Amino acid sequence: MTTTPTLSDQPPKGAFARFDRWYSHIEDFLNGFSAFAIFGVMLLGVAQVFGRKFFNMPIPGYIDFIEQSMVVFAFFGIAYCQRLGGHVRMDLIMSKFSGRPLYFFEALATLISIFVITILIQKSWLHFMRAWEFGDSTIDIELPIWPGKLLIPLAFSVLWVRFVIQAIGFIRLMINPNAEIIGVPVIEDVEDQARNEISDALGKEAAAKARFDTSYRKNSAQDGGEK
Amino acid sequence: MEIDPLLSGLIGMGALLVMVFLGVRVYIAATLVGMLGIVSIIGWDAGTGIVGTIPHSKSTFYSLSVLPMFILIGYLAFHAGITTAAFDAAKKWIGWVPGGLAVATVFAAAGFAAVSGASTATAAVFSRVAIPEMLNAGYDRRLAAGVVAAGGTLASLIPPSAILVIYAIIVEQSVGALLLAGFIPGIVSALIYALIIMGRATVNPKLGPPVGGFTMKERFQSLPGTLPIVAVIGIIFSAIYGGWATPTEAGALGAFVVFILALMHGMKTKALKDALFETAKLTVMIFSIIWGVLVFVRFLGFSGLPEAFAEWILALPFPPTVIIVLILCGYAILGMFMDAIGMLLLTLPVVYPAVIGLGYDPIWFGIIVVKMVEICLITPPIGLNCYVVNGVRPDIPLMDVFRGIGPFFIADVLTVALFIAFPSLILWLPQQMLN
Repeated sequence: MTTTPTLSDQPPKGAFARFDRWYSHIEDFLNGFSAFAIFGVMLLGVAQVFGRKFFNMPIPGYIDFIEQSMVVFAFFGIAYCQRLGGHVRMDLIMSKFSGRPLYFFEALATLISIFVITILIQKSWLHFMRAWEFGDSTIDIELPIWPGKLLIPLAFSVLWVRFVIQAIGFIRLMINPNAEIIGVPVIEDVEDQARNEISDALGKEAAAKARFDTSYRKNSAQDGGEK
Repeated sequence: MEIDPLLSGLIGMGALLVMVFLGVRVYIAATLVGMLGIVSIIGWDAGTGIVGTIPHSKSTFYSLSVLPMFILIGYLAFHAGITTAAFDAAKKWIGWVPGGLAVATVFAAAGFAAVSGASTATAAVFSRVAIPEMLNAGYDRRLAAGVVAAGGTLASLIPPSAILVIYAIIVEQSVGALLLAGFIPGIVSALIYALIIMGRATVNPKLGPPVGGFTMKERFQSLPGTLPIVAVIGIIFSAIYGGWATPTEAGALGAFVVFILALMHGMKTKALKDALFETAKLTVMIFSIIWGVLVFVRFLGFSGLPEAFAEWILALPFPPTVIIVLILCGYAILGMFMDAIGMLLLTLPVVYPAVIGLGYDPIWFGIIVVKMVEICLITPPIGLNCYVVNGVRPDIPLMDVFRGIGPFFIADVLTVALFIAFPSLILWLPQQMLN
């Protein structure tokens, strides 16, 4: 797995870096919306159990609501996760490369992703259009299904832009491997992964303080280490 | 041009492996290969049309909504002060046995696992809670580090476990049955860890002296702190068993209990926001890979490859036990290089029908596979849990953590062998409770 590059004291300058930062706010907002929805599903679940058990009043259409809200937390954070390199992949071979070859393969993987997401945007849009035209609705309380289906091409479009940013970032690095890293996740080695886990469990301070025994893996620092 | 579906299935499998090795994200690689594969069989418009419906139709199943609830419980649990309380109680009740503090660590980690499904994060917390006490009491450094790294792995068997839910969804088995099935294997793993520690500390008392002298009053006073663990276990088990709530509702209640406790324990708004953001990020990661892999699975269905692979496996002139052991060895090797969720989702569509064809139980196989994945978290060359311990305690060299893990690794291999020999250890509880 990979993560966002550690920022130096000075944020990178230039239009591309500014756009990347500005766009990150949109992704943060959408992921925050998803986080909010998850919190909402928790509260709704509690209300449902208490309502049903103690007041004999289950929430009408509870399952319909949950299923429609699932689109939010299944898709809204997708670009945020991509920016932070959170989507599963295998770094085994990639981590052996550095410099131009690495950026070439990264750029290639990103262009493949753009191709896939372009088709998915188009086809999920058609899926939405069918629901819109036929007026599909949920089984229980007949919520319309089209809003949920519309959110998917929209979320994919946000992801598409993120992939374009990453493609530009990788191609830029491929041309000039020594340029400042902007807009792309760098490969995270096992120490960075361990640091992230420590951060989740013990907070960011503990993660910053974590030190790793480097004598065990002599040549591990060459890729992710100093970036 | 007509391509034989089976051949296209094989080509697809190969293409998927190449792309994953070249660093394409698994959800993208699986979608692309699945899409091109379906297109090669039924044409562009019909093929891409089907693919376009999958992200929505496969993500809005009610049963999947339990995932963010379990993940949320895990992230909030770190802020609810449960680990310290669990370790304290375990120390006071069983600290008197040989290697008492290490045994206490195992049981506290098992208890914490009941509110968290995150293996590596559990190792991080116990590195801070348990290692200092063990070292102060004169425990062997390797034992202290090893038990913490190994104890973390209990988290993904003992419910709530996100990875068991994912397995259940992919192979279309009951989520409830898998969650119940993980419980006894989790406890058995913990007991075997404890026995190994006690055995070693009896032979060589210098490894870890007993810690005693607690009065019954002190012991009982340590119990209220562990109530959240009891509450979450109670909610999830009684909901699945009694059927008074769905897994999602039980997860929501569990998350709510832990949320209230975390607030009482002084969780800051910033920490809540971080926990929710991380929950959302992990949730979208899991959902993306699920629909991506399901595109690929749809293609495999068209190609007939899983059936062909199963036939091939069944025709092998080996007994089923040999084949299953070979499959598990394959997982052990894959697990060294790949994230658990990605590995399971990529392999199960092909491997699962073959295993079932051999006559193994779907629930049993789920638990065994997850146990294998966990073993990978403590074995070199990666062994993420060991790195986490080393990161929190830089004074303990990584080599010592890996050496300390050795006995627990042997214990885990024995545990897997035990589950292969006695499948009812896994299947008894779900059969009792769900029939």
